[in-house]
Formats: sequence, structure tokens, C-alpha cells
Amino acid sequence: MITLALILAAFIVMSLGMDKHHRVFFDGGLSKPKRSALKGCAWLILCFAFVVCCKIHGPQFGPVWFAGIATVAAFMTMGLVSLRTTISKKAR
Amino acid sequence: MKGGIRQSNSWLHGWAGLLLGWVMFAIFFTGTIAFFRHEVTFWMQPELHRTTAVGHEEAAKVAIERLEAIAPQAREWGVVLPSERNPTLRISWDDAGADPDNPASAPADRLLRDRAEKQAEITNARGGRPRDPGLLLDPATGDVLTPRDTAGGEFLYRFHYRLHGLPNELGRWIIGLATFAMFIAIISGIITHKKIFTDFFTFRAGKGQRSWLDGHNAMAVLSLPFHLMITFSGLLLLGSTLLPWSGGGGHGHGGHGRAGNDEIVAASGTAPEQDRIASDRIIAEGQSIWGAPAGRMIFHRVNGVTQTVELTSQKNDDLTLRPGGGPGRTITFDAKNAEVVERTDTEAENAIAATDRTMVALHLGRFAPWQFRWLLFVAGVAGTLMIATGLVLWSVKRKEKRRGAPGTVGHRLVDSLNIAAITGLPLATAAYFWASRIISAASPDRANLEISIFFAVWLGSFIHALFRPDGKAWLEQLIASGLGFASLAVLNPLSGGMDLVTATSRGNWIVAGFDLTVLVTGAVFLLAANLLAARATRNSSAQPRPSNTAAATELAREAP
Repeated sequence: MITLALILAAFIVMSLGMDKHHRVFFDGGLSKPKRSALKGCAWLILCFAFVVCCKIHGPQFGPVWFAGIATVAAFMTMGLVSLRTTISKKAR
Repeated sequence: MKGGIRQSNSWLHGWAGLLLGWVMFAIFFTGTIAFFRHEVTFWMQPELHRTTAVGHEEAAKVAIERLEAIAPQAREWGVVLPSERNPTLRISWDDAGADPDNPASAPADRLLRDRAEKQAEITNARGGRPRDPGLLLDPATGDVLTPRDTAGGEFLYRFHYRLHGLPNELGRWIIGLATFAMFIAIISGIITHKKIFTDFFTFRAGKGQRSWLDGHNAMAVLSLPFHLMITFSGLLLLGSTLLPWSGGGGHGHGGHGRAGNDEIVAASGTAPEQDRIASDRIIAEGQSIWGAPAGRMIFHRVNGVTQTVELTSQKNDDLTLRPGGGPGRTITFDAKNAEVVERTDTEAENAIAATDRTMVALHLGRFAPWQFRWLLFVAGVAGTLMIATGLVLWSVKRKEKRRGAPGTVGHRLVDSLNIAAITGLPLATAAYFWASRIISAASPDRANLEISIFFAVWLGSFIHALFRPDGKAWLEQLIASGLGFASLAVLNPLSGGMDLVTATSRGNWIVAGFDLTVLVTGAVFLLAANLLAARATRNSSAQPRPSNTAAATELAREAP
């Protein structure tokens, strides 16, 4: 669960670092330094999640678990981002 | 290369995906269910639902007692201990060389033995790994369980790598070519995808072709590691078929060797076997060495006395152990004093073998605890949806290009095949599960009858798709699939199985998990049908009334 939470957080931060999603969430553009900071932060969390996962499941099964959990987290992020898009459009 | 590398790959992606897309869809769909094949078989045999789970030590004692009564002179006994995937206890024996009319067996036990031997003949005639005659027991009471004969999850598992009703090699060749086409489609798809990072989390709903493309991309990209792994390892598993001169990799689906201990010391002792064999200590010792549960016991016997016991772990704790992903750790114990005679860990000899074994282990997922099995299942569903959206996208693209003009016979065939694959196969699967419950348990050859129903419904869905307008065929088959799956949870208690509430309260997660999964699957199909119906209503109300008869006929043919 902790790995899932970390990867999900990383993906949400990463999606906010993408111009298209950022615009939908905050109705404004994304400056280059802000984009780099968000993406850098996302990668850091991802790396940390990988280490945590390997610590929990061992060096052999850790990467396998990480890939599996990352897949689920990616679908969850896509769902959240798409849902947010729909809500914001309805609100407008 | 005219049109650039991206266009060339786009062409390749489209055609490699389409031509074998329906086979790929069937492989992914049945393969995804096969991650839970033991659970599916268990659900399809309601006679087993009330089996009581007990500890391994207790189960082993029950097994030994039964085996001594049924096959006292067998040269080998086998026991498959209860697990989280199947709480029953399976015993088997190898009577080769023993007196078939051994007076040591009571008449009732001899009857059981004869029945088990007949059943083994029938099962072995269906193909697959030859099995010794055996019985299923309730591990708590030792009662012989007599579940109905079923093709179970095993049929879906075998179908995904060798189809059905074809010579084994031909089936494997077709699957091999489809897997190869899938691999090409994945690689060319990656090259074709212009905005793989920009559109990473993007899905734009309700935008026609754009939505189908987004859905296809999302299913492909978000679980790309799984798709690459499962396809590449699938090719490795079929290596001996596709590259017969390679000599085979020593692995494949099914077919595990038995690491036996042939050096058996002389027989001794006449005490009952359950008193003589230190099964408690053997299991405890093995589990403490591995730090994992024991899975199987093989008793090597001479003159009716067990000399050594081979204990195998239930799951691998190392991906590089033994080809095929099956348990690769074995310890041979002295039966009397539980001393370790031999330890066998089938570790890979080199990095190439280790890589090969890792890929195969990941494909088969036998090492996986239930949580990881679900991750594999979810990724498998994503793969199935990726193929489904790809197939629909091919059709939608051409339909939008035609702008209402009728399609060619080829287009019509593709549309019908899409419907028969994407909604027809799930419908056939729901019918297959239904068949396991509505065919009389005593019916002869009922396993083959289940399979016949599966194919009859699938064929029916294709014929239905051919003769109904597209939209209506999609809608009707989605509703039928939805109802077919959801009603399984109701059918289960009505046909002798354990109901969802009882299963949940008793912690029987095999039955509860199956029922919940079919309920969710049914709901998803019905939701899709609802969305489709709503869209059809919206489209028909927005469309201008055609002014002439020809246009009206054309629209009627196209409209859902």
C-alpha cells in the first residue's frame, strides 16, 4: 500500500508537470522552471518508491512488484485526471 | 521508405494488429482468466465449496491414513497439500509392480481405487500431463470428495496457448504466429505513437475516434512493461515450436519432471504408516528451511513401507528456479526420523538460463501471491482492452472515412468478427460457466459438453453479428454478456455452491472472489450497453430526417 501511495503521488505530481493537465487543473500555463521542478519531484518520489518496494519485497521481486503497482497507479492517475477534466468542463 | 518510418510502422501496426487481432484477443482474454485457473475450476465444482481448511500437518496425517487403506502396496504415494488456491487434499498413488488384488485393501477401498484408476484413464485421454490415479479428500475429515467432472479453468488455460480441437503442434503454431504479430504490433505501436509522454495520462471521453485512440494508447502505454513481458515470454515458451531446431528450452506449459530419489534403502518396520512416518517433523523442518509453505509430498516406498519423503515447496521464492515457474525447491527426508537426506534447488546454471527462467516464471505467475496475481489479472485485462480498442478503432476509422456510405463485404466481415470476438467470447465464457452448473453432474462426458456449449455460443454470437445491424448486435451481445456474468453469482447458490454472503463470512475467498468478479464484470458489460444505447438515442435524435428512400435505407442499415 505504501508503494502504491508513493507511486500514485509521483504520477499525480508528474501529470501536474505536464502542460495539458496543468492547464485543466489550474486554468493557467506552466512556466518552464515550475514544470522542471514538478517533474523532478515526481521522479524523485518514483525512485524513492522503487527503493521502498525493493526493501519490502527483496531485490528480485521488488522490481516486479514495482512494475505491477505502477501500472495500477498509472490507471488510477489517468482516471483522476480525466475525471477532473470532465468536472471542470461542467463547472464552466 | 515512402512516407517515413512512422507512417511505415503505422501501416505495419494496423495490419499486424488486425489480421491476427481476433486470435490475440482470444489469447489475452483466456490467458488472463488462466491466472486464476485453479480458482475457476474450484468454483465450477460446487461439491468442493464446503471443504474445511486445516493445517498441513493434520492434512498430511489424513492423507497417509487414506493412502495406507487404499494403496498399501504402491511403490509411490503423492500428496498435494491444501493451499490458498485450493483447500482440498489430493492423494495419488503409483501401483506399478504391485499386486492389483492386494488383500490388504478393504472392499470399499478397492472400489475407490478402481474408480480413481478409471477416472485417471479418462483424464489422461484428454491430454496434458499424465496423472497417477488419485482422489480428492476433505482435509479435515478425510472424506472422499466426488466433484463433478469439468473441463474447468484448465480448458481456458490450454486454449490460450494451443487452441482446441486442433493437433497440438498446429495450435501452438497459430498461437506462436499471433504472439509474433503481437510483438511486432507492440514495437511498431511504440514507434508510431508520436506523443507517448505528452499524452501519458490522457483520455478524452465522448470524442469518437479520438476517444478510441486515447483508450487504445492508454491501455497500451500504461501497462507496456506487462505487454512486453507477456508477449516476449510467450514467444520463449513457444520457442520449441517456432524454432524446432533450437532443441527446446527445457520448459513449456505443463510437463514438469519429477526430481526423484532412486536410491532407496531396504525396507524395514511393520507399524502403521501414519505412526512410522514423521510427517509433522518433515513438514515443519521443510517449511522452516524455506520460510515458505510446503506444497507436495512424494513418498518413496519399498514393499509397502515408506523409506523417504520428498517435500516440495508450494511456491518459488526465487524467479530463476526451475523452468516452467513451478516449485523448484525439494528436500528429501528420511521417513522415520525426518533427517534431511538430500536438498535440491534447481538453480539456473548461467545468466542466460536465469533470464529465460525469470521471463517464463513471470508469464506463468505461479510464484505469485494472490495480491500479485490480481496485478497480473488487471494488466491482462488492460491488454485485452488494448486489443479490443485497436480492433474497434480500425473499424471506426474506416466508418468515419466512408461518411455514412455502406462498407464493403470486408468491412462488414471485420465488424462482425469484432463483435464475435469482443462480446461473443465473454458471452461464450459466461455460457461455459453456466454449463458447468446446468448440465447434470452425472452426465457422461460432461466436460466435453461444457466445451461444446462454449463453442456453440461463440459461433452463435458470430452468426448473430452477421445478420444484425452493427449497433444492435453490439448492444444485444453486451446485454447478454452482462446478464450472463452477473447471474452466475445467483446461479451459484441455486446449483449447490456456497452463496456470496456465506463465502465472505467464512473467508472462502475463492468462491467469494469469483462471485464478486463476475458481478463486477456483468456490471461493466451492462454499463457499456447503457452508454451505447444512450449514444444511439442521442445520435438518432440529432440526425436530420432523410429526404429520400435510398438514404433512409442506408441510414437504417448503419444506425444502431
